[in-house]
Amino acid sequence: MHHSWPIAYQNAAKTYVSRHLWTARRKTGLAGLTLEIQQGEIFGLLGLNGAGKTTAMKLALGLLAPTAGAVRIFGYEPGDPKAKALCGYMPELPYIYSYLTPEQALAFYGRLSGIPPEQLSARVAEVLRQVGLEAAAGERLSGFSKGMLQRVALGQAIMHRPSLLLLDEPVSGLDPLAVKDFRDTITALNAAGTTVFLSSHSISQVEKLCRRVGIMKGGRLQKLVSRETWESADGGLEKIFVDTVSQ
Amino acid sequence: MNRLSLASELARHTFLEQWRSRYFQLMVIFGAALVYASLLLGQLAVEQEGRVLFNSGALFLELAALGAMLLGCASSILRDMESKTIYLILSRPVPRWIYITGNYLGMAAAVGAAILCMGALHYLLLAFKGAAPSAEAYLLVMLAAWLKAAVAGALAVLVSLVSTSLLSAVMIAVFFWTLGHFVPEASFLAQRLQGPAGWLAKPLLWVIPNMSLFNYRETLDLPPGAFPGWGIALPYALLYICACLLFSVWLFRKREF
Repeated sequence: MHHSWPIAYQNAAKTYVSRHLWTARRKTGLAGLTLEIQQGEIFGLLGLNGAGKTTAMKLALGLLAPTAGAVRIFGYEPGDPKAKALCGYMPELPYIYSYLTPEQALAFYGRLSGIPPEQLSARVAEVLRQVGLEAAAGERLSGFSKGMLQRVALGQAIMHRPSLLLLDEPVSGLDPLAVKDFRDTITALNAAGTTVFLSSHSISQVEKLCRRVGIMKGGRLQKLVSRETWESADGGLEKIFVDTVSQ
Repeated sequence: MNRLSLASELARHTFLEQWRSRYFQLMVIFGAALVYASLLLGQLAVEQEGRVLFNSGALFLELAALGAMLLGCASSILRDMESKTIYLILSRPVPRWIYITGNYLGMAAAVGAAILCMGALHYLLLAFKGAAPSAEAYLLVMLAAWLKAAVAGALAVLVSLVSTSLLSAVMIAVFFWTLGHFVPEASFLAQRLQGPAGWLAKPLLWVIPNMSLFNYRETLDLPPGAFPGWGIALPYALLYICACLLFSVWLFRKREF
């Protein structure tokens, strides 16, 4: 059990600077985000394109460094291998080597995550079963549909049984059955103790999965909403979201 | 997982990725075809057939290895960044220096295996024509070719992290590789240069890889060339490669994705 927050943003800011000769253009990715994700919860970030959801996630993974403020993962710096060993990440698009098979991809990422060799093949088989890819385990990813690739992407994220799962737009482009399967898997993982931090455009999915939701706009966290609040509000989470981003 | 296992896993992955790559396969096939074509050059040389077959074959082998190494080293990290496959590697407990080192070692191993394949064909042709040197001497020729490619590859990794495109990275690395064959001459000229030109030229000589140190092939020629010995060539290659990789890690440590 870890005693710190799974994720803690402390006034974290990120400004992107693109330089061209003597000019520099600055764009705010995230402006002073302060937020704690609690142990064992499913937290959702909602926002329009460019609201700062992916930036927040990349800061938590150490793929970006904050311009100001700090981010901690279970009390560690995001770049610390100890923090990374506790995280599983599923990006918006499944950025996996397309010449691999699901079996090979899971084994590769499993080894990089530090799964001992003697446990690897059993764990690969278990995850293939969990994400419903047993039948396609030996086929190359280059021939896979978006939904099947998302399953592999989820599989690689949970291979090492992370304490914290970061999912960036996990259901975009999936058909309704795949969305349902995905939701069931996430709910089961959460029931087993995994903390889930996800970002999405899909209000209905976030509404079904999350206990708390943060609404982002222009790099700022505009509102934190709990399930009790949106369930008791007229128009539910959708109305709260539309009202917040329209302000 | 300890760091050695992580590096070897990344190296294994890069090795397999290279051997699956069409560019790499083409480079090896092209190299092997050129080695085979040196038979023709040998026949044109009439009385010196064996010597020409040996020299031209070894040169083609070296060039094909260099091409594969430069393309692979300059493109490997850039490709991972462009395709964003790097996200799923660096979001794991993989230190960045391990990523750079593992990638490089995989490339060096892939090119080493390619040199062995092309070299085996070349040696068979030499044996067929009765012009083969001893197996030990030929293995050292291949080792020298591999060291040259490895040094140029380490430089290509470094250049790929500061250049804006694959093409420019490869061109810069080829430029340094070419200059590297003229280091003894350049060093002679630099000693005679006075003033600012001299101050500029002398440090530059430390940056250019001294490829003339790896001309082991010339020792088998008549008259033998000036090979300085493995006691100099091996530590030099190791130091140069380590320096390039250290700078690469330094450049890469704060890179954002």
